Amino acid sequence: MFTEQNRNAGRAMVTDSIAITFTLNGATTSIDVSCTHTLAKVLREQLGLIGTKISCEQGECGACTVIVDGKAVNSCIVLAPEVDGCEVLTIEGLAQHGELHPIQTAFIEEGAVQCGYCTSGMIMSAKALLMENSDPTDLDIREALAGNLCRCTGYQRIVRAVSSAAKKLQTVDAGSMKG
Amino acid sequence: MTEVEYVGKSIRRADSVKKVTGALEYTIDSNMAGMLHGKLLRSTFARARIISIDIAGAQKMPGVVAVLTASELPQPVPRFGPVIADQPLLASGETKYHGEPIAIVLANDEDTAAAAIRQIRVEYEELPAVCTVADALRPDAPLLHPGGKRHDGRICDSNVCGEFEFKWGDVDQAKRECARIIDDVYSFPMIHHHALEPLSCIAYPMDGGVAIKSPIQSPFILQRVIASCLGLELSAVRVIASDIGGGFGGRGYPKLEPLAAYSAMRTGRPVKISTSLDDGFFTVRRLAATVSIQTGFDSEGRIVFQDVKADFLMGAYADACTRIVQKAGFLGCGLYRTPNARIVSRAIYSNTVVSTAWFWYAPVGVGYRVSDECRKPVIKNRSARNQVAQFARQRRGFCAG
Amino acid sequence: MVTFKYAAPTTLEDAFSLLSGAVCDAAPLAGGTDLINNIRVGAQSPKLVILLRKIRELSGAIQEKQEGVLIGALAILSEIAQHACLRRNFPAITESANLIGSKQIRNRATMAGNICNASPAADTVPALLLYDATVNIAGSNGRRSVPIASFVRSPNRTCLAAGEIVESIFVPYPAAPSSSCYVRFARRQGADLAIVGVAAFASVTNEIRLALAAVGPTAFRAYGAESIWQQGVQVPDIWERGLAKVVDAATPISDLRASREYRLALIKVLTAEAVRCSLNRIGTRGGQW
Repeated sequence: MFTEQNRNAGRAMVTDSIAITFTLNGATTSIDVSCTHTLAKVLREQLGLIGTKISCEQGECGACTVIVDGKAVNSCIVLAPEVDGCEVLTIEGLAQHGELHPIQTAFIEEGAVQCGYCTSGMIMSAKALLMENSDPTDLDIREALAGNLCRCTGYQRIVRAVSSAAKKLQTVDAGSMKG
Repeated sequence: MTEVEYVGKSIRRADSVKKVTGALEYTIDSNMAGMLHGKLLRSTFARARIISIDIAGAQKMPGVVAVLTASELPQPVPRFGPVIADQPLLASGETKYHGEPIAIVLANDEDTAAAAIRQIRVEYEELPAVCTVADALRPDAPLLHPGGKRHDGRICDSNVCGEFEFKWGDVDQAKRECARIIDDVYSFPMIHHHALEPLSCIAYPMDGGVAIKSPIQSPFILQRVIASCLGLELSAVRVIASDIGGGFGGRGYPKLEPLAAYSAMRTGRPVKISTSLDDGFFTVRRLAATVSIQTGFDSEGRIVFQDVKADFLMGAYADACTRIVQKAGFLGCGLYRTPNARIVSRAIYSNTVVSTAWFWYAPVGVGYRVSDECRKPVIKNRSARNQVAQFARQRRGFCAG
Repeated sequence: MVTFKYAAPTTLEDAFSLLSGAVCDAAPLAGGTDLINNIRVGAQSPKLVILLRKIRELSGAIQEKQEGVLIGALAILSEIAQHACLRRNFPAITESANLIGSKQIRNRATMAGNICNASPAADTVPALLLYDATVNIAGSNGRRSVPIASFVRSPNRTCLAAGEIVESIFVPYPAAPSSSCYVRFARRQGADLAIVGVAAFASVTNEIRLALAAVGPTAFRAYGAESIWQQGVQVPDIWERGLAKVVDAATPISDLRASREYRLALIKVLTAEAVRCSLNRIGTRGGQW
């Protein structure tokens, strides 16, 4: 069942670095990555996108949250090669044409930003939530953000900001449907 | 009434747009052309003698520019500290806490530096360590800094680095006169600030001196400490205090910056020392404390005296702890009017991670514990409880000052 | 940084040739939420990491079959937790999946990975035990199927031989209308590990099933209690005797999350809660206890 040919074919696939192509913030991106590098490291160091933050490096704190194929993930425990063929959205991809995304505006207005280190991850988790659920309850918000830690704010304002952003986005949607 | 511009208005934080767009550059995000990456080798014992360190394997790795241990530094090894300059750039002769840096690798990239660290071989002789207040105060306890200077300038002859006494009235007389005395011992654990931004710092040579970028909470202290440690004029040290990814007191005082500054001046290149979030537990903690409080009450439940002994476990080096312990002392009676008081607070060296401020110079809840004491006698006596509550509401009658 | 090589095979055959042909350690990568961190801290040091996601014979689909539901090896926990058919027919499974880690973790982690990691606290294992799920294994020597109870052997060890991977997990529909429930106690609501996890099943034919996690080297079914409760779980004396059997079967340890004594006490509370919940779900009154 298992031939020498198989073995050779297998060995041919083994590699240290690999070319990947993926969509990054809407743009097709092709780069070579080291297979041991995480998505977070590649985003920050190879692509210069420092908005995705490194903190615990073990998928506990959520500071490194990005959205891959529509789902919030911890980029510190995703290997860079894994996003080949995927759609990746980072914090840098939220603001469009110089205009802040309603979630970003809500975080500012609700005072949900102190040191700011958790903020990118919080906003990306919020974005992922609102992509799935446009009218979340406070409990929905807390569950969606349970994997994002904040050492400064005590979370209340962050939850309010997400709730406020949800309402803003519903208004925008309702408005655009009329037109 | 005149219209005010800021008071009572909702004002946006100046940096909030950068923070919500991910554009803000924290020190961990910063890089410089030609920068060396520094990684630390840390001791794995509470206290040990360093018998030998073999850096040959690390030195010959391609991409490694320098490997430094205490032996490669000027002798005596430069020391730093905001109050007492007792912390060496790298452990010299003896490591005094689990996690103390004993070597640094400077390499062209982070992966190489991390790999080179694993090539360093250290031979230790484990030594008895003192990790609790009780152990550190034993008459036969090994001394952390024999011959070192205490806070008051005297030479250390025990592990007590600083001792502060505040007193007024006559506590001993009051003890004889009061109706009821309550005694208790409280303990506060070491905790870690755990700001989300892992600590890193970047230093680069500049005009015969050095510049340093760090999430330091007190930039002027950092400037003074580095200048003093490296023998530079203040004007030769430039500090760029970057936006911090959380501090909470844990970034108040120099930690890795003096070593980064020295490494930059020595190699002539920018040096970035970066650590993981886990490394924070080896870098800084809040003071632990054992507090004994004796409180005397008159027959109506008023405090007559407080006799407070607060022993703080400082860690292996003083950092700013003597000042913190001093302030904890003078706030030791909390918010209560106390006609007679004696508060003795001590800062005690131990073979544990260096401690520092927590938020501000929080007196580790000494005052809070006093509140606990006041509640105790009235648990059994409802009318007395009402009285104490009433007194508490009348700030004039109850609060100090 | 630890070094390893990487491969992204597109067929099972290629994957097997890499897994067993390699002289060195090879680790399969599905969600990576255990593997990547284990590599970082040195708990695992594979020389080769093999991505499973591109293998065409492996699937993330959750397929409703005649006799049960087939959960693909690559099915992620967040999709399992939200799957309508699974929620309706196997609530303990979806509830357990929904408690693992955080949203970010559930969006990558797979159920197959959860059972392969075989932590004593793995939440999906007791739920799968309730339904006598089958683990479908593929290797260079062919395919085989193993009941979940035999799949997990001891902490972090399964019955997988070198070169084998999990291809899918099959959960058969119970014979009679039933429901189930998974409850766990942790220090916080949100990302944490179970201190005690209890999965309970109740059917209209008065069958009660119970499985526990985090109170033994592996999750286990409390068969002794189940046979006692067959006689009438809502009779106080029968309930107590069964509960005593559950506690007897558990061998919790003391660790940083809780003491042994606390876990033993929790078992009683959570078992009552899980059984009551399951009975409520099939429309039976919850009983006097």
